[in-house]
Amino acid sequence: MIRLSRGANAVLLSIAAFVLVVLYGPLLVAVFFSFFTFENNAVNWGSFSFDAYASLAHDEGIITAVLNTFLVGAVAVSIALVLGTALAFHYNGSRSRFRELLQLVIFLPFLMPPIITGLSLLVFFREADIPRSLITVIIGHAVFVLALVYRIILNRLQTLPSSLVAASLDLGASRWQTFRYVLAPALMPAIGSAAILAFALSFDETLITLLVTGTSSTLPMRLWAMMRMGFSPDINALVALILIGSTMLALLAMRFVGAPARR
Amino acid sequence: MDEMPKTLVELRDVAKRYGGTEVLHGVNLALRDGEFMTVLGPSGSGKTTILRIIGGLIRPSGGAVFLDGVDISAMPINQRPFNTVFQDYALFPHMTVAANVGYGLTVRGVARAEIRKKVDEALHLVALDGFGTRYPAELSGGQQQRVALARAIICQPRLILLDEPLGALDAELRRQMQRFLKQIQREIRTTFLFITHDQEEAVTIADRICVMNRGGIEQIGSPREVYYRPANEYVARFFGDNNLIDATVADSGADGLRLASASGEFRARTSLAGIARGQAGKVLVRPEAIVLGDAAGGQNRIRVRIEDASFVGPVSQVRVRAVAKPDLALLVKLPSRAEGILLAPGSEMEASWSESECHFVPA
Ligand SMILES: Nc1ncnc2c1ncn2[C@@H]1O[C@H](COP(=O)(O)OP(=O)(O)OP(=O)(O)O)[C@@H](O)[C@H]1O
Ligand SMILES: [Mg+2]
Repeated sequence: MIRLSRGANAVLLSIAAFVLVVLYGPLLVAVFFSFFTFENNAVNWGSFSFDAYASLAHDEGIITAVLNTFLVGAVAVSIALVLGTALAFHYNGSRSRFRELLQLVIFLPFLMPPIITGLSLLVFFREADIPRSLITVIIGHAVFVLALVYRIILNRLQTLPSSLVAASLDLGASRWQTFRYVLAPALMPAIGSAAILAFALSFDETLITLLVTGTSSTLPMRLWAMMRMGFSPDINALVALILIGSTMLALLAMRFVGAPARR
Repeated sequence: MDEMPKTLVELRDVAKRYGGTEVLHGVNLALRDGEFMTVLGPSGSGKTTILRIIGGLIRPSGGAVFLDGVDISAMPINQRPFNTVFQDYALFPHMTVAANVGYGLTVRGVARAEIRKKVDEALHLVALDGFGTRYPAELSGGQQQRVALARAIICQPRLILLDEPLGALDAELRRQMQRFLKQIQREIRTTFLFITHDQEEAVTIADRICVMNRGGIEQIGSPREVYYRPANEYVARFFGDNNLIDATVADSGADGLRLASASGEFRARTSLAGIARGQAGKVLVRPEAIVLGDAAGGQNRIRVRIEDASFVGPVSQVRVRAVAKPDLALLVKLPSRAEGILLAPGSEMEASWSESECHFVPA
């Protein structure tokens, strides 16, 4: 194992702490003001309440946006998981040059600036005469997160010893049984972390959504719209909720990704 | 001719090409039912390729594979009644030892109670009773090896293919596993095809050895045959030390060969058919078959001068040179004695060996 010197460790730690404070510190201020009000240049300590949250819960627009966000995330991630797994298997098993091209097509929407991806999707939907709705948002998100899902699963697939599949077939298992009993369990951690990371991506995707959605809106879009009208306790509460949700997703993802291979 | 055991698997004229490169050519191999055959050859000679073709992991580019006389070249891997022990064991890391061993039965839909019984039997056979609930990562290399063997045995295959299964084990464990494998093979009376590139291992463990070189088979025979009656110069040099002397056939009769060489005439035997007068080749004589001393009697004799003698454990190696033809050097091996060998460098004496210890291979 390679160890860093004490000095280098201290420098890294300070940078991490600095980033944490500067980047996420202001968000904590927002969280703080979702509970308190600010009057006459001072915090009104007596104003502690969950009012902002309560009013969020009564805001039809917010509730629909939350539901939309989860719906889009769940469906888009499911589509991406199925497609990504199949494509990873295709890439791993095929020797044709076509597979490189296919891989490029998978990566492009992720690597391109979202505005380009969003615009091309928009043009495509218009030409194909598909009305803009939550469905087009789902398609857009699925296309966007596919690259990530695909890459994570392919990575795992490529590091699996090929003799595992050979051994399973050799012992008389069918291809399906080999997938079911040997490959799927081995891929599960990868599929899990891919799902969480993809959901986190979908959760705060704004630009593509903005371009391909019809009248429905998702949480980040809602936040965007509200912020244009000035900060309010509601916005602070919404930021706090998004922050908590994202942090939980990130922690979950880290557990999956960083978990040592089971036994 | 003897009563021949019946042939289980046969390769006829099998070839394998990857792109433009031919990695196997003209492979003819008949595995007898119940035998323990080792495939021996240098790295890259095509040993694994043969194993994979028999197992069904890859298809031959030419020729055919037969099982009980039926062409199975197109039979998919999961339908062949053969099981493989892979070099890296290929145990399923997320399954317990019991689940690994029972896998072949599970995928065949055998009843659970039956599987449990068979798994216990198989684990008992490989001396791993009570290890069923462990995971592969919790076992030593030798134990993983035995789990892989139990997993291959449990479906009662007609043939077990082993690809250098002992490669990762240390010398002592290796010898132990060799004896163990041989014992199990006798117990379950199943044909084993065992790849190795360790000559000593091949000779100790096998009923017959298949010697490979550059994608082709050089010789198939019992350990004694490939050692004392090599089919060609390659095999003659492959196993241990050997003395090779250029010679031409002067006369070939029913009782053996008369060979002419620059160092005189030799009498030799050969098991190879069709050797005619005038055929050039090599006379082979093993270092341990040569006797030194004027009193020794053997049909083949040369006068030699001692160059040096060195003690190397159980045997002493003596280098000698023909007096009449100084570019002919021979290696002689004698059993070591506590008081040493009294052979002064420079002294001259007779080196002799009998006709039956002398073998001829055509060039
Ligand atoms: N998939 C492949 N594509 C191209 N060449 C291959 C492939 N598999 C094997 N070869 C080549 O075929 C030759 C024989 O390989 P093989 O694995 O049978 O050798 P081996 O005798 O088992 O060697 P080792 O003792 O090193 O395991 C080698 O030269 C190897 O490079
Ligand atoms: Mg090999």
